[in-house]
Amino acid sequence: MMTVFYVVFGIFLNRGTDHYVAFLLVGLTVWNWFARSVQHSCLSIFHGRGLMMQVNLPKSFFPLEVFLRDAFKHLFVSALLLFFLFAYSTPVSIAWLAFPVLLVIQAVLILGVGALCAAVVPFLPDVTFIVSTGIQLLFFGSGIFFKIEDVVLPQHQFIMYLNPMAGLIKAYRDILIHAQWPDWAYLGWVFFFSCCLLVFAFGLIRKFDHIYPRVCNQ
Amino acid sequence: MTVQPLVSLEHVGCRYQFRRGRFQFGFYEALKDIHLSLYEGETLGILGRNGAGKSTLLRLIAGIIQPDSGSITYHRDLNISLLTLQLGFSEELNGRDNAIVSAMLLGKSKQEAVDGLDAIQDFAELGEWFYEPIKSYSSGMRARLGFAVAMEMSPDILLVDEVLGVGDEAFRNKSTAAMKAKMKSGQTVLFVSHNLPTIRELCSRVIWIEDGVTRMEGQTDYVLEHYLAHMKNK
Repeated sequence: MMTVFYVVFGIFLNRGTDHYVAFLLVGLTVWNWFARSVQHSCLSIFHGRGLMMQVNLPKSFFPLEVFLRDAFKHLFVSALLLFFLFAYSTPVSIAWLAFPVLLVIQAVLILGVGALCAAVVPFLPDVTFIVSTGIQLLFFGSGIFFKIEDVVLPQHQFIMYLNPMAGLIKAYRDILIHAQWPDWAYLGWVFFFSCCLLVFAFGLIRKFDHIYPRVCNQ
Repeated sequence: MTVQPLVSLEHVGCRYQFRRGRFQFGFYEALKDIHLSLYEGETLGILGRNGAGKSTLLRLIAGIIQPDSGSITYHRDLNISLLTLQLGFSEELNGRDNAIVSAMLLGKSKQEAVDGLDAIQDFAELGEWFYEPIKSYSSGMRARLGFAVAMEMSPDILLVDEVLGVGDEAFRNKSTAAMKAKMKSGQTVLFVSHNLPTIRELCSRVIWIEDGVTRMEGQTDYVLEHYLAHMKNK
């Protein structure tokens, strides 16, 4: 996929984005963690129906388990990414120190969105399709293979940044490629929003704790 | 039996909803009006025909689902679990790790699980296989490991749904004997079975459920006699 994007956007369309390989790689890595983890979470509670009929356990276990598994994998991918960027022509700067902070913010966002999906899917199984379509759409709206500043009209850019993933990807690029500190105020909002989502989603799962075993086996 | 019961159920009812069509739902009343008391150290048998709601009753007591009507009272903080073999087993993990995960799912702490490992290993008779991933196990070996975990990590109240004896002949005898020994040694057990001789041998009291209602509760011989008479007349 990486190669296709590189050939199409980096060579043929030549939008002139600097360091396109690094630009694309950062975007895809960050995006993949979000997309995979949220999609895996969707069915986590539903797939736990066998286990939850055998033991009484807190149902938040299922989305958490999926999240941790994907997060663990992403740590390795991140290490590879940093290693690549270290060897690449872009500078290694003090701004790299913000990398773990961004990881934490993104983790909270992923867990919040994932848990919410997991909480809803047992009641409305078709939400899975909506989520996967939504993720496809967001893929094109998160500025993964293009620079939002180059493509979108200035007065519309704020709409693009209402999508927290677009902002997060930009922040990762700021620190890793452009040696700049990210927009902390924006990230603060993303973190706040994600925390609210997280509390809400796990509250929901807790509320329905004894309903899931029945709903999932309907 | 003058002591306070560990668990008591009053007027418990439970109905299942199932999907018929897009927005149509059917209801099935598995249990309507169940009374039951379980005392410490006893083995209480549950009798009833297929579909009488016995498994539902076990799930209710285990706290997996909640009743639609009536109440279940736990008279102290209890660790209750269904006897489930191979609970949460993962193919990739070895026997030892699976035993730990399974024990922890049954409500034990990690320390308790680790402490119980030797006993589990002895009971399962897996030898060095204990340290191999269970994807390399035969189904009999899995069953042995599963049973060993369930045996050694028994909760305050054990709910047994018709599983006595797994594996080959030798291990089946051993596991049945272990289960019986456990029931007689003061373990509180709720036991569901169709096998009347087993119920007669193991249970001190029996509850007979029919059409979702407690039909009779009392000493084993007394209830069995009426149950058999009833079945003959059918």
